[in-house]
Amino acid sequence: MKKIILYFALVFATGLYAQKPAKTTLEVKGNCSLCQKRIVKATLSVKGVKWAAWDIPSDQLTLIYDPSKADLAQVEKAIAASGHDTKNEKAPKEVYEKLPACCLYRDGGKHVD
Amino acid sequence: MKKYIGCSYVYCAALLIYLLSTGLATAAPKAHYSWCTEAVHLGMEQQKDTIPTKEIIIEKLDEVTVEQRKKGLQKSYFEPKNVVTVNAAELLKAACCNLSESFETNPSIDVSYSDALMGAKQIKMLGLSSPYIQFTEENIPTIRGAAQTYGLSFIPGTWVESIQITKGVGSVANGYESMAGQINTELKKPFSEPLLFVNAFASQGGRQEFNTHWNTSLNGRWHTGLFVHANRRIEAMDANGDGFMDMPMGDQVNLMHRWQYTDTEKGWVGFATLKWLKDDKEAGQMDSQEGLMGGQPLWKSITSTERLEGAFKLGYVFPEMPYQSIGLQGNLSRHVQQSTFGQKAYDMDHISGYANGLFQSIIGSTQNKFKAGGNLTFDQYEELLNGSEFRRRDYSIGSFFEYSYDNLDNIGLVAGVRADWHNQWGAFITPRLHLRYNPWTKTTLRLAAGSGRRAANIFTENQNIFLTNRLLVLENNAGPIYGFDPELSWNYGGSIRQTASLGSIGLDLTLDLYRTQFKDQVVVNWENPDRLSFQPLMGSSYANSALASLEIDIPTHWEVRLAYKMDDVKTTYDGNLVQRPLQPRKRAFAQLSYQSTPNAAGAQWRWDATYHGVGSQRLVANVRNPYGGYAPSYHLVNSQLTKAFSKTLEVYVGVENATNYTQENPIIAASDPYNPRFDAAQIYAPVFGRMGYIGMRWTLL
Repeated sequence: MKKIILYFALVFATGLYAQKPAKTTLEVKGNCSLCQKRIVKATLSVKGVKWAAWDIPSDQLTLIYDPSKADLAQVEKAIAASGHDTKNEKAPKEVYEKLPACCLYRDGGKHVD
Repeated sequence: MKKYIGCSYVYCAALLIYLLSTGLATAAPKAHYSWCTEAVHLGMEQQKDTIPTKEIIIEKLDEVTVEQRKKGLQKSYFEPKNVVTVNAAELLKAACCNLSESFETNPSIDVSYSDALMGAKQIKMLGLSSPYIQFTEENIPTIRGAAQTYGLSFIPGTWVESIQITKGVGSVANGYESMAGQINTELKKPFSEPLLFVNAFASQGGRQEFNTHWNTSLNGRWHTGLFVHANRRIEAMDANGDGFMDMPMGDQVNLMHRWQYTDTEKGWVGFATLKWLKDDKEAGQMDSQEGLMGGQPLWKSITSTERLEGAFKLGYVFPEMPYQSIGLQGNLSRHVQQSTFGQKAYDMDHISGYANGLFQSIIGSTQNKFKAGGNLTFDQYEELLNGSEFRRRDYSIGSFFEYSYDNLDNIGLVAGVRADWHNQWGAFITPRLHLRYNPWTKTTLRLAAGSGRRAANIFTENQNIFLTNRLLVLENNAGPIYGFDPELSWNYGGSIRQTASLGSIGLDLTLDLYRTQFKDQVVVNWENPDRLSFQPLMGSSYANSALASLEIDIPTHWEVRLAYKMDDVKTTYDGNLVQRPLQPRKRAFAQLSYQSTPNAAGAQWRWDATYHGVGSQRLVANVRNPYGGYAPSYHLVNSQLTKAFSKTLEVYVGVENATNYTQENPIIAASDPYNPRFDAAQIYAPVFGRMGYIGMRWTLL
């Protein structure tokens, strides 16, 4: 019980007094809600990224992260490794080709379904 | 998770439209979208989604743009809890008129009458009646204590925006009282409602209902709404000729005033709600000229209820951190019931207070979230039963911590624990666990386990005990609540859901298996024809429930729902473990729905027919069946046809109990209501036969 309280107090304290997180926006190529899920998952896999959202119509990825922990270059690499191109990183061909049909964004024209 | 889309969907869409129209959206659209969802979750749904909110919004917007036909019952692939969301379209299928009747089109919940006189409908879930289900209204516990028997009929159906039904134990954030499940009701929000709404309804049974809602925006941030409901039943009817009215006469006036505050830029959202209700019912023998029947005074029952309630909610989302929020909510109510049943009198005055504070944030990233908080509850009960006074003050203080994990793919988990101290029973821990696993994309497995605890308010929860002349006996064991210990149960179970498609036809198959095991229970024992005993549980008591349901979506007009249910609900009475009386072991359900494609003006036809097959039920021994027995199984059919003339005007007609099945001689010893054998609580089928109705809805956008 004491441990639970201590843990709770600790988390609460870090939640409130942690360093103010930074917010940024990147362009990430993709099409549909499947892409969205994959992009968000890849983004959150990078240490220090707290929150991510990718907007389908605009291709904009918004993320909130701890600047002392997260490296944005790392984020772009993780996204590219999952199959999605960013400004500085391109997805490897063999990964891209394994994406589901609706996610093949390089064939031009955005298709959501 | 997807089910929460339903309830925040309208709200967010409206907010979005508003933001677009004011040009705010163009200034900082992303932040507004996410605050919107977060604020909704914070303010109204603590059971938050477990994947990033933006994704939900996008899904929602997609739904808007492609105008998919929304299913009336929505289930999720991602939410660890087994939740079914009943949305507004589904609520319109029910004939009428209040929350208790909203579940008749839904196989997860069983609706039946609790007695032959008062017309109150009771609901059951996983084989257990409503005291074992935790009701919340916008996540504040409600329909407790004095409101238990008639509370569902005090929430008009038109006020309801959506309902979330959680099978198995609910969230620890809502308290320790959920045992078989949780039903949350979201009321309509002034922000998203049209300016004016009018509904009128009349049925063959002499029932008339009137609803009007008025909602407006005061400035960009403040919205207010006034909701007025009135109903009455003016004809005394005795179709079965037993000298008793088949339904009570009465009237109800029910008012709600809501204020809503939303400041998306600063991250604040708030609600204040004030409700007042007055309800009068008259039941019993039909009037006769001399005011006597067989030389005795007429057996009458008068029940008068007045309820006043105020609630507030305040939520703050950290503008820089959309995943972090603080919520505060509180509720204060007073519920006064005064009633007579023949020569018996029962009065109840219940004052209740509730306050809850909640902080939610993430650990590392949004894959790991938590909620932590605390709450205070206060209940004061004053009861007067035939001159005997029962007074009790309960208060409890508790804190909870709930952790959720989502790998953003195929695994989700919610693990919660709460520690409470209650003035009557001391300190206790309530653990609850929910797991979700998707082995393949279209398959969802869920598991849940946890405990629940509650004080049984034996008189007010079992008001059918006043409709019999049996000798009332409290065989208590020196516990704190009417001499009884609190009820304690463990619930565990799970479900498998498989979706598939056959060409364009969508199939959705769900199998639910749950068990509720009581450790402590106040048993209501009707087994002896002369007595009615409240006893502490001696031996085993459990409810096993299995439900198989199949939903078939046939584009673009038809939907079929089929379900079969088995409830094995056994309790030890006088040393014998037997099926609980008046509890069908088997139920079947079928529903066929049609809707035409609306034209540009919104004109549309909608039709549905619902079938209920109710299996045989065990009857207790009485003067008619000295050795007990079984009631026959029977079938019920309801149907409704709606014609929408435009987006603003709809007319509907329908029939309930179309096959006109009623229980023969529902009241035992009806000719002699002062005889000790008189009993109006042994009801297994409708008392009221076929009933047609007509209604209209008009909206001013």
